[in-house]
Amino acid sequence: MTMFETITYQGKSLTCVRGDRHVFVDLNFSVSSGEMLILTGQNGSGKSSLLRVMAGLITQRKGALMLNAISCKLDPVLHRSNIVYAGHQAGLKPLMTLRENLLHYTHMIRGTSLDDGEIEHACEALYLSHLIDEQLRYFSQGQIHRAALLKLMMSRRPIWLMDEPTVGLDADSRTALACIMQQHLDNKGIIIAATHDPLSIEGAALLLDTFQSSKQVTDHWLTDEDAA
Amino acid sequence: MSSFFALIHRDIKLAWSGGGAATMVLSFFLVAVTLFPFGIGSDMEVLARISVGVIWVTALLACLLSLDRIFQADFEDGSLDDIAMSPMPMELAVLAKIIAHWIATILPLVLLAPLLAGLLNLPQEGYSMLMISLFVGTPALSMIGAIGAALTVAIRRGGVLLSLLVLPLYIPTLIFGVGATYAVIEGKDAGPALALLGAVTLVSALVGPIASAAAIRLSLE
Repeated sequence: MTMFETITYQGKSLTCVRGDRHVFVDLNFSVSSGEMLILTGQNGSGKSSLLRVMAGLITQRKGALMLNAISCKLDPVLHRSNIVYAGHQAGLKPLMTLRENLLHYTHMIRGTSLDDGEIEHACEALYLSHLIDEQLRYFSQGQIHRAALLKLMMSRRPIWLMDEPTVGLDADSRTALACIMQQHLDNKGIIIAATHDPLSIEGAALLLDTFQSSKQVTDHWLTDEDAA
Repeated sequence: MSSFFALIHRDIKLAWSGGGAATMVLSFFLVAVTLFPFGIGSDMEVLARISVGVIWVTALLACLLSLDRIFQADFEDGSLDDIAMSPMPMELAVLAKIIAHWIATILPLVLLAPLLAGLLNLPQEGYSMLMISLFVGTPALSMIGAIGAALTVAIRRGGVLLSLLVLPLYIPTLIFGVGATYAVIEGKDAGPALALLGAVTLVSALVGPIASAAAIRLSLE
């Protein structure tokens, strides 16, 4: 595994509006290489929205995302090509084998083809080696989830955004996942995860409570002034 | 650029795999065209008169059947997020998906058309122009269809709405496509109709990816 270059990813006074409700207002964060940021907060406090904003999939109403002090709005390609997002959906095709899925995914994300050895190596880490040439429709939920986590490793991107990464995993897989995440941090990667699970990962685990950090605006509805 | 071809490759493969739309659409085209001689009877002159129109209209409807597959499956299983995170701009990714749709789903229809034209007693001199007009005109069906597919991607059972959005926009392609072939059969110059058909395709190739990409970005929000 190669080491990533040192980067800093920051969000400055981010405001996200869904429908006509403020999900979070004036939220700030900053993570650097080798750090992990854990998002906590009640259901509906905006953890998933924040992750999608960070990934650039949702546009924030106000505020800015900065990668190495360069605004992500100015250089969206640089932004995208440093980030990989693992949401609730696996994004894998049931009618293709695990190997085909990973090949197509990696080819598209990296823009280069890759050798089979890398896929096999990644599959070993999450106990999926025996299923590598099996179609995904025969996988259990937990196995599909693990396969989706493989995409993070295959992407070779420094910033991992993970939405509830431990849901549906058994104890062994949890340990394996923690091991992979630890390795990513040791390689100077960045992890931002929304989770309630106490993962045993060493290193700087920063906590960001989306609900506490953002100004309390639950009862504050959009006025015409805000919308303008 | 490699991401672009990787996406085309992937989509063509999926279209021809078990759950894909390509075989279904091809079968529909075959069966639907075959119904016309049964319904209209064996009057060779009537069949010859309607042959071009029947093939074009059926190809249009067959294409419509496959449109919702362009983005819907990827939207539902989360792959669209991955596509949005790839290094290429969304417009290029959408273009890749449209090209894959045309190659996997529409091209087989075009190649099958002369066989079915024989069934409908198309006059000898019309064959080459039928093929040319289909090659020039059908890319517009994928380009325009993608806009409708992108707009309705987040709607469950959006198929009917999709048809209502897209079918009226197919009318110019239909008119000039049929017009070019009839012109040749009637011994007239097919040039103007063919030129206009090409123009419709070029305009849709310009507007289609941009409009679809905008609609897809909205649906990911």
